[in-house]
Amino acid sequence: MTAIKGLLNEIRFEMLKVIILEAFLDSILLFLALLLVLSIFGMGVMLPLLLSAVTLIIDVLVRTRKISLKYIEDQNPEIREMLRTAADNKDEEGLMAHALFAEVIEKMRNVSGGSFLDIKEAGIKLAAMFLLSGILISLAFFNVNIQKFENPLAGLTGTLEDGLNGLWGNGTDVAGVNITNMDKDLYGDARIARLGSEDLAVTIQQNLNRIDFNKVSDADPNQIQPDDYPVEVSAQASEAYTAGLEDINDRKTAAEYSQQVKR
Amino acid sequence: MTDAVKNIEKLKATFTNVTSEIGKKIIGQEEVVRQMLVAILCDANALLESFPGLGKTSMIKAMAETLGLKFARIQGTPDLMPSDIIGTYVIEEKDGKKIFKFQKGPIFANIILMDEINRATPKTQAALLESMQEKQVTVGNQTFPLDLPFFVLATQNPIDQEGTYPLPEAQTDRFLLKILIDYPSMDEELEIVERYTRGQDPSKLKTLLSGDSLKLLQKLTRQVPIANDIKKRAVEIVTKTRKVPELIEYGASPRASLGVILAAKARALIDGRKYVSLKDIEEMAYPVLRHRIVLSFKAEREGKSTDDVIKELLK
Repeated sequence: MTAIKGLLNEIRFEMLKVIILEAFLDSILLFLALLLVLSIFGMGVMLPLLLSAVTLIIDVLVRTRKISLKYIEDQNPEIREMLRTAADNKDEEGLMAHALFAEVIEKMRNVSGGSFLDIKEAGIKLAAMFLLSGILISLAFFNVNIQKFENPLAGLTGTLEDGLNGLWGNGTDVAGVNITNMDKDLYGDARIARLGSEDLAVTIQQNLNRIDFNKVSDADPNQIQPDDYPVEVSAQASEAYTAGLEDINDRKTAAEYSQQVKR
Repeated sequence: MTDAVKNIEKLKATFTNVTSEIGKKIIGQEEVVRQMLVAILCDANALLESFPGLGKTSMIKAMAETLGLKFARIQGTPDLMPSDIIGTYVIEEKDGKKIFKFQKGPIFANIILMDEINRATPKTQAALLESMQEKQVTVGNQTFPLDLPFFVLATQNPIDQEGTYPLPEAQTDRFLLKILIDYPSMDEELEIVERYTRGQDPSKLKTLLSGDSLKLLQKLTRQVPIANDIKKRAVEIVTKTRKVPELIEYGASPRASLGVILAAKARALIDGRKYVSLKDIEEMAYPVLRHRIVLSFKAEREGKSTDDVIKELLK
């Protein structure tokens, strides 16, 4: 009697492992599918993760009710009707009951835990997971931007993400403008950007670009001697362009701006 | 316990040998023999319905021989009295004194064949049925227990019903099974003719089981485990007989539920299984229910038999 109870407990444990494995497969598949679909709308990973977690819990509960000893018997015809008869009579002490328990235990030695799992279904799910993962990785690798669709849930997701941002900090105000994570792709991470509170006075000097046509004249003719040709030819300004700038700070700003323009 | 468990494995072979041994005298009718074994293992009684000349008496005699049991045959006639069955006091002279001595009737055997029970008067039928139920006989103020195991096989002739007293439904309900014997096939009948027209009586049958073994097997039968859903299915079938007035006028009682499950357990034991299968329930539903239900007028008008109706209930 103890042996049959031990066997039944072992079967229940194996069934629970199979249930959890199948539920995990379902939830991961759902997560990947949702991630692929929602990335079109430029949404993050939180919503698929949440939905997958909920699906995992519901799936475990539903499968726990569905899988029974009869299910195991259908997968293993050699123990058909025997297993559940033994389970229903596990407290019986009669000779026939003991004989049944002995036979069930003997036959269950040849039954593997894998028979509780629908291998074909699991294989299909794994293949689907690989396919979805491959698509997602390909999209990331080739930097395919498929955010051309307007996000119909923008208002909702904006509210949702602001709420989530509230969990680890408020939106960032920069110069009186609240920058959320939606804008970070344009402006960079709002938390890094910090503008100073001082006003900058920037003056752009137009002198450098003004040409005085009144001073243009033909060059004096020169007798060109062989020694007149320089070995190296380089252009040098007569004076630095910053010479005309009155303030040293203005010169620095102008120099930096010039460098940026060159880039 | 391990040895006892191993011995259970040999039961199937034992019952197969019993059927084969009876088959030396009775050709065909294996299913009838199995159903009679079911009734014996359930410590119950059976009704047998067949046309004359199908070997009922030979079959039950062969079974008694194989099981090592005493056999008695009672022919039902309109003038049969209860005392002809159970016995009576007779005056005996001993040592110059006259004393009353109880002379046991044929009912004090292990296996009784009550041929054409529907020809006996209701009073005689009642005496027999009471003995079947109580497993004892009361005469005057004395009670005499019957030898165990005790099994009554009562037959009814389906033709020639004039001047008979058909058993009422309340009495037929006391029989666990109603077994039908059909005509043998062409090949079987040829073999019967071959065997019994040569003047060679088949040799005496071997005794394979004893009365004590049968008592043990009867206890084992009740110990055969059954799953809850299969038990529920058996009860569902019986309760359904009370819920289809278009087919059945009077349905089966809870005694039928007991009968179906017990008969299924015996069936499982004969097949060498240690559990009751759904197939056992469905096979035993026919002999258990066919004498416990009364068909409606509509069903009879459509020409349906009780077996046809039971088949519809099992769908």
